[in-house]
Amino acid sequence: MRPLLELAGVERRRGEGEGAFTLEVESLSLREGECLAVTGPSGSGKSTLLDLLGLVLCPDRADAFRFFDQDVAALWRSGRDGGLAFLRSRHLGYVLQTGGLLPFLNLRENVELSRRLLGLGPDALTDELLARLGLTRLKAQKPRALSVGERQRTAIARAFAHRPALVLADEPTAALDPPQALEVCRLMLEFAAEFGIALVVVSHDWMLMRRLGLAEVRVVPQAGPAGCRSRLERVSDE
Amino acid sequence: MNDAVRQLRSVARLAGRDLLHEWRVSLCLALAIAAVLAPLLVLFGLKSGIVDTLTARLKSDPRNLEIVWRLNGSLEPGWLERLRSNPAVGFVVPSTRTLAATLDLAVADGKGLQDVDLIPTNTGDPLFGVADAVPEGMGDLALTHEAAGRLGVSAGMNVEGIVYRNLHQQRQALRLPLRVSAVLAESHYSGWGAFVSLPLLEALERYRDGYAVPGLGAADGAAYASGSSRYARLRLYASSLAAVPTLAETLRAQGYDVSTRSKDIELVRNIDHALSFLFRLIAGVGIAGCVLSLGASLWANVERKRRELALLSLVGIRSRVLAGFPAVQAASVAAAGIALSFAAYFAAAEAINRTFRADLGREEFVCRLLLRDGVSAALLTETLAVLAALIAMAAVLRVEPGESLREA
Repeated sequence: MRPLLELAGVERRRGEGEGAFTLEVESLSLREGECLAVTGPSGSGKSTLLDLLGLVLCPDRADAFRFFDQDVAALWRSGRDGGLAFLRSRHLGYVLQTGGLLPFLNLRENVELSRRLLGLGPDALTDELLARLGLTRLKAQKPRALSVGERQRTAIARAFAHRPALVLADEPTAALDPPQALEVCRLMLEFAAEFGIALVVVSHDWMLMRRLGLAEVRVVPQAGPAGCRSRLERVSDE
Repeated sequence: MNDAVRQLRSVARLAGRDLLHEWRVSLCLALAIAAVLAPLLVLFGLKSGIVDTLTARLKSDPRNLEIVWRLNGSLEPGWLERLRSNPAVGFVVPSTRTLAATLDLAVADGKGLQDVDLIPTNTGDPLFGVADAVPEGMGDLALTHEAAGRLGVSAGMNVEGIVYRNLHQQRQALRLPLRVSAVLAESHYSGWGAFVSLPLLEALERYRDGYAVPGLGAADGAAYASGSSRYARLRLYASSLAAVPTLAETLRAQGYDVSTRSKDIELVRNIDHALSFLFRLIAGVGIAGCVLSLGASLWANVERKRRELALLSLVGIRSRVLAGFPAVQAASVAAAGIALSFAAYFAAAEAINRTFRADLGREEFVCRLLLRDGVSAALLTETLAVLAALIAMAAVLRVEPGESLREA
């Protein structure tokens, strides 16, 4: 079976002057339903990797970059936003660092945002996600009235509600206390396994990732003659 | 295609929800538009109201349409025909004589009037009201209000017309039974006058000149040899107030000495021009300021909402569709501003018209906005609001979906 996501020889330079670095992805692939943790020190290029996978950052070089049988590198080269926007809306779900909810929609409308944009009708999944994330009684509230943890859980529900092929989570636990963080990550893994959705979690909290038993890729910065270069290293289970 | 339409509808809905969510900000923007638009509507309403009322007053008096022949000419029937076909001409009837012919009028109870001016008329005479029957043939006449009052007659009654002549050293009198077809409104003609058809007028003149006029029962006198008659002067009315000066100019260029009541018309036109100029000046300054401030507010709004817009882009809304976000908001805010402005306008117009009610006729207004002008104002406001959103739309196009992923 072809992998869901396949990158080979992908490079992207980020930053200016001292803090500049190049992220180099020699090879990375992800099967349907596979879960992966991306760890590494801050400033190493974790977010750059996530932006590349999230189809919002154009690679400087890409020998191969395929997602869902689409040539992403070619879509970037075409310069048009439409094809990438469609892939993002249909097949990707995003969990952002601080929720990233629309303040003018209530909780349920935020969760159904992607579904509405795709023209999908209401689905039992939304209610199930809300129930399992403990948000049912809050569904009519605006984000302003929610706690940080509630907002983060809402963002998770939104990322899964339209059954994408891949959910990307960028430091989803940064704003949460440890017990909440563990709970939130467990729920994400549960949903991913249940609905066959692949999941990539970027986190500086490698302890937490290990506790979850996730396959792990570490972004390793290395000083070199042509500036700092970050490579991916697969961390094998001990 | 279907996909783009759905996205556009979603963006419009989200833009609307955002406006409602921040209703205080939205209300301020709408009030800012109303603060410019409402006074402009009142000003424009005053301009049209005043000018329309003055114009209507001029129009209601047909004498303002008259082009008065000051000197006698020698006008050929062919020339008269050409003049009649000029679209600037509303009504024309010629008369043969330099000096007006007269006749005496008498009624049964002994009342009478001497030397009443005979004035030619025809169908379409603007001095006749809608209900007034224009005299036709040899047996009708219409009287001015004063003449009818003096004789104590009204439309439908009969009078006797008497014309005298000297023939073969004899004083002869012709007595004609005439029916009063109409009495003219007091405001349309002051003085004594009798309006008759052109054939009757010509017949009476021939009688006075000593010819036999069988049509009037006067067999005595020489037989009249009908030839091509030339006319000495005209009763001429332009088809509209606007046509008066040009028609007068045309005639002057042909060498005829004519005069009009152009001063009154000129005054109204000057008032119209002055008010229009003032209106354009004030509107220009107000609208320019309003468009700039609205544009800046919309732009600031986009900058403030970069993360939310980036999020919408991230979840798959194409940037070109997303650019509709500030445009929809501009159009909605403008619509609210227009509604507020018209509410304010109607209140102000009512107050103004009420204040000046005493000086106005039943159908007259000081402040009045035509539907057409109101609709134009609304459409123009919407267009300018969307134009004001252009900078904001350009700013949306620069929003990268990745901006939503983390704090800047």
